[in-house]
Amino acid sequence: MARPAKLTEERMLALMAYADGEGDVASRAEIRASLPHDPEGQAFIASLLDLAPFAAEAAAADVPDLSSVTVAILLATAPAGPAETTPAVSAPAAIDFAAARRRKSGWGALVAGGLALAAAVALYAQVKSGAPVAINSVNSAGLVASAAPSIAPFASSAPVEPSAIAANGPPAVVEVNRVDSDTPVDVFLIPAESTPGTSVVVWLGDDNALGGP
Amino acid sequence: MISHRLFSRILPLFLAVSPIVSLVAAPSIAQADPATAKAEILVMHASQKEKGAIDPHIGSMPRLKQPPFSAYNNYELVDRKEVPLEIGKSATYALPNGRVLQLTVSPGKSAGLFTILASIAEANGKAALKTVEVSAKAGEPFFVAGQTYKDGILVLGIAVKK
Repeated sequence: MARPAKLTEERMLALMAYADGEGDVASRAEIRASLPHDPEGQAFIASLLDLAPFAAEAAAADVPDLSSVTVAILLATAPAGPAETTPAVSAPAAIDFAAARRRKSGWGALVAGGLALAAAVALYAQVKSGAPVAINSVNSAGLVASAAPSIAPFASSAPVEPSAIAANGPPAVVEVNRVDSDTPVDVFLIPAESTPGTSVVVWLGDDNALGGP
Repeated sequence: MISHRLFSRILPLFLAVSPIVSLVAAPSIAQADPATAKAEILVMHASQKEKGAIDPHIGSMPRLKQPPFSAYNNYELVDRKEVPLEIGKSATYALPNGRVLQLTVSPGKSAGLFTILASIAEANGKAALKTVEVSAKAGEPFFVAGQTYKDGILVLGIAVKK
């Protein structure tokens, strides 16, 4: 009986690649063989594949193709520095959690791997701790992304009434239950600034495809 | 047991105070009307400039310097508006790019949560964004970004509260 593989960073990366349908036949077979004896690995894979049911559900419900939707968790733990120095990136870093929703990405393997690992670690930590899961499922066709944010909301310059967006509130849950769009959409779970949690950004892509302004 | 004597002293006091309590309590009950809510919509124009800056009218918003917002280095406040909502009914907001944002709010799975349906349509009715369904705590914002606008994009922040 194979010994359970320890959930190291390398192991997580390998499991993520496996979940995404990547890797050669030998490595995939090796992982497949090891999983029955690796409960942590199974849990990790399960957390990564939590979106999988939605592809089938979407197909069954005859809802629009969701292959254009990408979920990303951006772990920007520190300010990115002055905006002036930030390059105008048209497609911010994205991590795809389901092979069915995989999009072409221009990111290098190293960057993608690092971000993916960081996101996966955060996701897995939430799963393991019993906290609200970063990516989960609901009974609706579409993309699901949830998190336990403590959104440090926008600051407000409105002088009259405290802005709901500007007010600092206690941590709360924000979920994207469904995204339905004809054009590619990225869903970003961005971290709150000072406390654990995320906020949600739905980023419409290829806007001009619709003949937009 | 409250003695008859004590009760006879308390009763007049209760009768005297209860109308006042009713007057004070009535407005707060009315304010808690579950059939209404309001959406706060923040509209920003994001673009890339040689020397970008964040409009001070937006306020302090460090997240604009972080991904994915940092894809643009210049943010200007276009509009900030509160839209009254009736639970279960759609409300619309005209975006500066000629499109229309439609919001429908319903009670969430638990107290203090809202389920928010947002869609964006072209002036001709064609959907730019068919549906985004978000569950959020009252006052917690979510963002919709990426619509082409002038030399950049629009970034919308939407928060629903009572």
